[in-house]
Amino acid sequence: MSTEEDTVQEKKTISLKTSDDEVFELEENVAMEFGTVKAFFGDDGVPRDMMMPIPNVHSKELTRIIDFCTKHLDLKPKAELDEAGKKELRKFYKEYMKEDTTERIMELILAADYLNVNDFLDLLNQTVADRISNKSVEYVRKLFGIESDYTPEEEEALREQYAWAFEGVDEDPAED
Amino acid sequence: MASEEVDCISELPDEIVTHILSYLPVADAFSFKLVSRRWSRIQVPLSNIYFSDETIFGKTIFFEGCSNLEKLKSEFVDKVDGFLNLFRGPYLNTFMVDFCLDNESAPAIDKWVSFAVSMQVESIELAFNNTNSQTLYKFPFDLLPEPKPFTRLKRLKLSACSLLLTPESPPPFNCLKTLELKNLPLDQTSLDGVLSSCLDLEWLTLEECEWPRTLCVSSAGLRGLRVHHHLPTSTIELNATQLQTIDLKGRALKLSFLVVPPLERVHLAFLNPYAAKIFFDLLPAEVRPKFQILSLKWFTANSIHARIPEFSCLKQLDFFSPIYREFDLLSITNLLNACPMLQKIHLNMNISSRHSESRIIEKVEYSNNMKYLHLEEIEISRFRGTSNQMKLVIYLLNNAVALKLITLIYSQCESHDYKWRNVEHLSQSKLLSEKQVHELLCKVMISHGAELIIC
Repeated sequence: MSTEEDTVQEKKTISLKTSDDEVFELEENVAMEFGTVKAFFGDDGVPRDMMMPIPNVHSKELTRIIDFCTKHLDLKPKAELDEAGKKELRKFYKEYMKEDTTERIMELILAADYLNVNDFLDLLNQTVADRISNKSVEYVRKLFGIESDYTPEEEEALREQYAWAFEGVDEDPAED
Repeated sequence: MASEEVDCISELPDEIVTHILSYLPVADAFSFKLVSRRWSRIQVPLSNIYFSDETIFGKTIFFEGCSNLEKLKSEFVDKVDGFLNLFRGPYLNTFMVDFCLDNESAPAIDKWVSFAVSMQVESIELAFNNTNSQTLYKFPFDLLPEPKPFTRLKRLKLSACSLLLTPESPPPFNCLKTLELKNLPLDQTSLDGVLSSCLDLEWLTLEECEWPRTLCVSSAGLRGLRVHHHLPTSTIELNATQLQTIDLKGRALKLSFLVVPPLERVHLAFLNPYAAKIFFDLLPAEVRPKFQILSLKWFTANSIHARIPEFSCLKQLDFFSPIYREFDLLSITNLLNACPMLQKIHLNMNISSRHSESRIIEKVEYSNNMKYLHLEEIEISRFRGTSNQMKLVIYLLNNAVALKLITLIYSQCESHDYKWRNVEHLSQSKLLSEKQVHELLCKVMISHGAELIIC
């Protein structure tokens, strides 16, 4: 067994209060992944034991964001070391959002945007983009529940103007 | 399908939607404009990249006689490499490099071209300032994207490069619409190879290019050709059934047509008095009548002769000329007489001589009895009110029975040679002011239905 460290690291935590009045205690290094939190506490000034309100974020989203940041913080330094680490990080990115509905991803995007969690935001945006990449316009509308506000003539004109962009679009998946 | 599905993406702020869209391939960014009006308003950032001495080093570099040119070149290459490594897209609109580079930097330049292509760029321009024909960068045409599945690259401009082509391996097809070659050595084999690979080519520019004697330009879809050059006695054979526009500038260029194109717009700027004659003489009889727009830059003191072949369809004539002392303005009427269907004239008279009065050396014959039945619009730029100009205007007013509008523009144009000109100079010559011109012309125009604008 390793010998005791001479200096014991004090576990620093930061408290966040969500919109549904839940209080979360996070390890400081995880909390500092949130750009908003980092800016709030700054290098000095606001004492770390102060509780930071995040009224725009629900506990449901925060739980997930904390989960991502914790895992991400663990994998990132390993990815810098070797190929195996890089592979693991890539796998993490690929699998992490697989099960979530698009609606859920949207909620997470809003939360991650507010908290300024850039790495997670990138992943979320990329995931949405992957889901709509090369799909038809109708598919995108259905996915997000958007109703077209174009007249049929306007739409026709646009289709002609960007004809080149519609080549090779995926077939819409069969309805179930 | 739940009809009450929340339009969750409309709750997302525009910046986030932009961010999502920026991850998508170019085609989606445009096709998704159809999703809703809001989506079409969201601008996905497209970048234009321009690497030059100014943008990389922050100053203008004079390549000739530059002592540490090699060092600068390698620094330039490193900096461009560095920038492109960090570039996070999403994609590019245009990519241009403007520096003194040669084939030594070929590996780096090839990479930049590939990168630009992968970024779905619309236009690539390599402007290399290289006077040594032995070391020209060889542009590899096989780097250009193929038509399928989809590509945005439509324009390529190469300056001081050379075409890397062998007869054994013709380049694959590409989607270029515009190809501009400048300061490039050309030979028939490479040009053939390039033109046959550009299935969609509509516009070709050859500027200051060298070729042996005769060059055949053969392209089925070509709509426009521009040739600017100063080499003596060169010939171009044109095999382009769709050619509508020609733009020629420079010394005498012999143009011969293997097929008769529907040539409608012709721009000629001849520096040599015989070049115009050669051009018109060589024009097949079937070609000339199709001209609809003719723009002529007449850089010679020779007045226009009466024996000009007819342009039976010509609707618009743009005539630009520095007024030489010997040039008889009224000889322009010879040209007008050859165009019975003429509707619009723009005359731009750049006064380059000290005196506004020109001594007419050649007495050119011109007919005073021609009526211009279709001429509706006349515009004269750099009007000075000189007596010759007034004579021309009055002649036109008298003979253009269908005239609707005549505009005389006094205001300084964007000409370079006026920068040094002493304005007092001009006032010493016999010039009429706008007011005087107006008074004079009003008398002529009393019975005319046309509108006169002097500005």
